[in-house]
Amino acid sequence: MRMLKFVGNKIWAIDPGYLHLKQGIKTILAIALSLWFMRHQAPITQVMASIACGFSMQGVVAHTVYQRLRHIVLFDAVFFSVFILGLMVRDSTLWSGLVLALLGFVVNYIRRFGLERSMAPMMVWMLCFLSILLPMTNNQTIWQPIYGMVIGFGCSAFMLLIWPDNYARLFVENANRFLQTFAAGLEAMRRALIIHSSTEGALSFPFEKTQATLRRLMESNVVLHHKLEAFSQARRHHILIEYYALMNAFSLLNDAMQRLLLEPQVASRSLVLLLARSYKQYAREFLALRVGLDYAFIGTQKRNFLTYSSQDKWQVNRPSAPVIIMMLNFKLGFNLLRQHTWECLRYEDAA
Amino acid sequence: MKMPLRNTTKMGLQACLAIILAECVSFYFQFEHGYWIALTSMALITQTWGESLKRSFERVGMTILGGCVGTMLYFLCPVNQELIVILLLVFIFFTVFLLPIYHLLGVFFLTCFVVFLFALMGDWNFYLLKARILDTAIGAFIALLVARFLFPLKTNIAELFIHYFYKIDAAVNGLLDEESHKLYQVHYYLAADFQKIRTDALAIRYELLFHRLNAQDFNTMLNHIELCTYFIGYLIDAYRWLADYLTIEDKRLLQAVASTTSHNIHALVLVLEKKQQAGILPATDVMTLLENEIKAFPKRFATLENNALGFYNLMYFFAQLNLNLGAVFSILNKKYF
Repeated sequence: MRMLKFVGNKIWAIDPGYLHLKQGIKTILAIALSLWFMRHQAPITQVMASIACGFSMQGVVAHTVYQRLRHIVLFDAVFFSVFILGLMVRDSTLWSGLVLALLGFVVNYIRRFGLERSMAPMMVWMLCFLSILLPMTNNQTIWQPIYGMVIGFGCSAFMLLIWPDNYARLFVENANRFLQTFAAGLEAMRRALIIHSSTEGALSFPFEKTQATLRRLMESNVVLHHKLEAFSQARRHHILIEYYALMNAFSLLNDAMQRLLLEPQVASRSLVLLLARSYKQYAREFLALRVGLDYAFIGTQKRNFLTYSSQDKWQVNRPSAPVIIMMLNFKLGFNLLRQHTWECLRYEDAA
Repeated sequence: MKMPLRNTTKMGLQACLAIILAECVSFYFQFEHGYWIALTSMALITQTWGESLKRSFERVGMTILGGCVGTMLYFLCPVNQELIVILLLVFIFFTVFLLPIYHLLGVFFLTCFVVFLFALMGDWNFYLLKARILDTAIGAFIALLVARFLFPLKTNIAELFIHYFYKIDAAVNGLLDEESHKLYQVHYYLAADFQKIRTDALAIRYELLFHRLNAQDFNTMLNHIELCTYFIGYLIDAYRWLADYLTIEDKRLLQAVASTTSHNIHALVLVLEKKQQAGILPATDVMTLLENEIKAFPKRFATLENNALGFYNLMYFFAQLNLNLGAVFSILNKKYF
């Protein structure tokens, strides 16, 4: 179980929301389904069904059922047309070269219509390319690959309709992972503070990994935000802005922490305990905070954040400029954490 | 009025010419499997020259490695069609999963897939492996040739950074305005813009192969600019929090430092435009200023309860911002002049 969770976390780190992992699984399931339908057919038909299925699984990104259906019909119609075009010119070297060259221009040209990063244009070209290369000896076998192709399209359409990408859910999952990672990062800082304030020796700063993870989650959500509909756009935009601000506060605390860990003697015992308590309180609050499916923040009490800094006494032993700057950065970092969490919760009241 | 060609049109023309050249080469030299040349040429026409260069290296390298591993696996595996189909599905899964994340690994599995697909449809042997590697290399060469000379889509690195510095300058100038609360969102857009530069950085580094600015300098510059992004973010956030605690004298000093920062950014932009500059102005020595204040008013700094001390936070951030701008200036000045 722990191994599974470890692997899952590692995969999430490179593929937030398992978007590409799911796409891979869906593709092979669809291909396996098409192979099962074609199990009594000739090898060429089976190959064509698999290729058509695999290719048509890439590129459809619409997220309402109606739009998805429209994309599937449109893309499959285009795939089918270029395949037939390829079959028509396969016997002439000149015509096949010209068709491939012109198609190469067209599929790159159409990228201007929101398909810059899509695999679909390249798949269109490759299907034409494959139809020219298919090993066929006489006209009678042309219908076999076409039949395989139609079945392949059918299987991919089925998979795309029953297992769509849910970008809205993925956005929320990323947002919640962000909060959990953030809380874990604060907790790690607290532990480092307690351990290294009393011991000397080699130090490690694992917070860079936490920052990298937070950044990756943010990047994923920025991409998802652009893919999603205008509905609830303001709430998602608000989440992104506040999360960037929280990342900034984390980075500020990280910088201050690294300075303190290099010279732990500059902070008094009471100050170290104060910092550790602040880290613990904020870590606990962020762990309890969640984003719901309606992009609303839930799960924590707003009044907790009012009480953190009002009674704190930041006693500095031997004030010098670097120490003062470091402590001011700590204080500012915590204030910004409080401010931005307040902004997240305040948005709910205003909304 | 002449309309400039869009990048997608340029890419389309490049792909068209690359395929024509590939077909001509294949026809002239009578390559038996010359279709791989056309396929590789088409696949390697991308958004920028740097990206094409990067993908070409990856493609050829992983074709060699993937081809060798796939061939070895094919010869070691028992002759069993079901096993070949299972392996094909495994390779398809990893290709679809890894190609968008790690292009290098994705091409490796794609090549293994090609080996086993041919194995399924007929036979695979060393002759085919050699042909595949050679044709891929020729296809990559054609794609690079076309991408380099026909409507080259090169990243104008100087312009990229100039635009970014202008945005930082606008943020600095707007910081102390009455309407500075609107800057709140600016940090998000700055961070997102920098993230885009960082994402494209690997491809940009390939374009620097024949550039005066080498990859190491570029990396160092990028790190300093990232720190600039952090510090401008700290400034924007911190100012919102601390503005009410600042005195008129504090705001006057901050205005002076903001003007210095703006001057330094403009000097940096001029260096990027290859106009020699004397240097940038040093930021206020915050540490000395603070040491003097601590000596004069020790009790004020003993407990840090006074939020007005946040003035030193802001000065520190400005100082660090200018320090990093200075580091970027040094690198560019050394390279261009």
